[in-house]
Amino acid sequence: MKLQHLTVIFVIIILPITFIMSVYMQAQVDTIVLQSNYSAKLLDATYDAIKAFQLNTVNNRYSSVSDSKIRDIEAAINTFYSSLTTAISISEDNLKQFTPAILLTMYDGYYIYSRRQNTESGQYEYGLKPYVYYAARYKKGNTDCQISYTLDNAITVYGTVNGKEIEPQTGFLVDPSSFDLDTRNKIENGNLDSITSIEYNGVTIQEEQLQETLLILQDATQTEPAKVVKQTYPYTFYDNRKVYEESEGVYFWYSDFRKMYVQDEATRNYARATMHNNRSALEYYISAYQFSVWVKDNLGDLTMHDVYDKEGSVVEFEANQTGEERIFNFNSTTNNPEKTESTFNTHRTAVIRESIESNMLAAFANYNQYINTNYDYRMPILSQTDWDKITNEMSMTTFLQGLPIKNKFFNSYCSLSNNKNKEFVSKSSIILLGSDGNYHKPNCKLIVNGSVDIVGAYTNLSIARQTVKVSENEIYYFYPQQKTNEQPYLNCYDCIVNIADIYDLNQLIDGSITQDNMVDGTEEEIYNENALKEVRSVYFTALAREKYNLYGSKLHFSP
Amino acid sequence: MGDSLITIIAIFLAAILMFVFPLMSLSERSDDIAQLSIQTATDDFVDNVRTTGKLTLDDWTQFIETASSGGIAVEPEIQLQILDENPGVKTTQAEMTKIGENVYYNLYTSQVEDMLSKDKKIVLKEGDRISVTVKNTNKTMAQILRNFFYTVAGNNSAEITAKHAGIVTVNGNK
Repeated sequence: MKLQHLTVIFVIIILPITFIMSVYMQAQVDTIVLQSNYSAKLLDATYDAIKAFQLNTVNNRYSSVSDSKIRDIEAAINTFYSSLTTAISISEDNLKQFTPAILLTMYDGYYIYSRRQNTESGQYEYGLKPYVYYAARYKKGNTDCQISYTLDNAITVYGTVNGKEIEPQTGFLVDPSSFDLDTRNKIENGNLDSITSIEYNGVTIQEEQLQETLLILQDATQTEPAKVVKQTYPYTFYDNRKVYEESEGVYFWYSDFRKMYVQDEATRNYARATMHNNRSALEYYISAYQFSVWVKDNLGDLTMHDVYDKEGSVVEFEANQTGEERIFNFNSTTNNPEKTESTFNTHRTAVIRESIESNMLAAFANYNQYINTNYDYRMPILSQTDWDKITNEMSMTTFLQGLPIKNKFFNSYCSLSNNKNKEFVSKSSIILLGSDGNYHKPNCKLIVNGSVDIVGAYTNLSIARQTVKVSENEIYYFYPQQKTNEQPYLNCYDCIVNIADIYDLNQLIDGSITQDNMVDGTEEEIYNENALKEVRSVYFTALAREKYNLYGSKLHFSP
Repeated sequence: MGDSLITIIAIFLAAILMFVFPLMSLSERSDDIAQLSIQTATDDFVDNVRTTGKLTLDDWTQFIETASSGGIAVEPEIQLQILDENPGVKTTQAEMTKIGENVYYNLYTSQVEDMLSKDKKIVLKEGDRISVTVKNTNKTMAQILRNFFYTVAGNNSAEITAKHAGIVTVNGNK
């Protein structure tokens, strides 16, 4: 056979193989493209849902009321579905079958949105399942109690403690041994009013003055037409509501963008006493000290091996194990509840993770029964980064599964944290107002090295633009925290826009910022507790005040 | 006779190998690039509207120009979903602007273009939604070749499509 013949035969054999291979490769490429496309759409839709939740709650002054909160959550879920249907062109009803569950973590518990049976009609429909608290049951000796956790260091204890049935006790946990001796003595002797300053863990907590700008709608009177006035007022908190001072002795609440003057004597007395020296941060640490001492004395022996489930068997934690370490035996080195690496915090995340995992697994298993499809829905393994988000921030996790893509099925999830809300004051939600007209993160290098002076510290909601809609064509805006020239504070380029020039927030909280030595690679301390005292004091005061003002009325401690 | 036949087959195969395959491969890559550039232009345009709350005639014209700059005739479709003040039927408490709860009304491409030519801009508000789809209207080289060789693609199937949608995050009037 001639060489030409062999060549032709070779090409005739190779050509179809090459063709089939190229078609196969193209199909694989298309699948990957479609997969990444759907992942991007899922991310966009989840982001839209979080954004809708933020916009709805920022402008909803009743968002902490339970009914109103559920409305905001359902509205966010609707936004998720409508965004996703617009993006991938599938009708909402069809799309829903591919979303076996949506997880929404709140401050003290979580919702799962999935298909469930309506007990009244017997029909299966999509909806929010009952709220589940982050709780665990502990049994040891004659203690049999339930402890509910939150996304931060607040807990609630129910049940029997040391053989005694107790009222539910709620409070924040701190390390009592980190308080200065004078404060400890005053608290133990009951001289609470005499405390005007607390030294705690290298920081000084003091009284402070707060103020914010409001936009007031003044209704028309017989002599004057309706008008809108923007003004800055000092304020304090009473019973979890802000009370503002118009002039000396004249106080009002801000309701429906109007002034509602305070007549109640108790509120007025409190406002008079604390308007220019707010004690929220001090109250936070005083109540936290008392509660923590009680928890340490009564529950100090509990370890992760004392956690029992509903059936009465010991819970085996698969992640974040703390072994024999005692969860509520606080100390300043390994178990300061406000620190991320503490035994308490590790156990808290383990409990939250265990609770969410078991309920989500059940939700996925039930979903397979409730829906007629050949696809087997299963909960994917979530990455550690996503678990960190879920256990430390309010978040939304959406799952999209079983969507056909070429020869495969799409199976992915998206977890996003919601760091701007009225439900929870997280460690990262405190911002510092700088003398340079910008707002900064507390761990911004400009703040830490003292280049910029701090003029105030609030939550990130206070620099969010508030909308007042009077009518379709009459919309006003204002920023609760603004500069003296009525301009809003701007993002710091280094820490908010760029997120590059910042130190680790946990290191700032712990009071020691380190940096790798460029020469030998060892870690060396660049700022010690003393150097960080000012910024940490402002930060801890703001964090304590905002937490106390948000949850203060829910705290209950009477052993 | 045998040699001639083999020579003809060899020439035919050589033509396929040397011209058709490279041409197909090149045109496919060219489509990929066009797809990428149109998707980027669409994402930029939609994100710009979402973050400014404004859709101007200039932006829209520029977007069409950018999308069709690769020599491909495109047909952009835009849909604006305007958050209405009327709450949905399931809502029990009325609130003026509740994103995800109130009903939306739609404005489609021709309506949007009419409004733009009249007012030069459309102002959107927080919670409105924008969705843009771009498809090619003329056949690309890759499509022609593929239709010729495999006759897989139907007449209406667009080769290059880009889509992006999202919620508007600011009020455009300030």
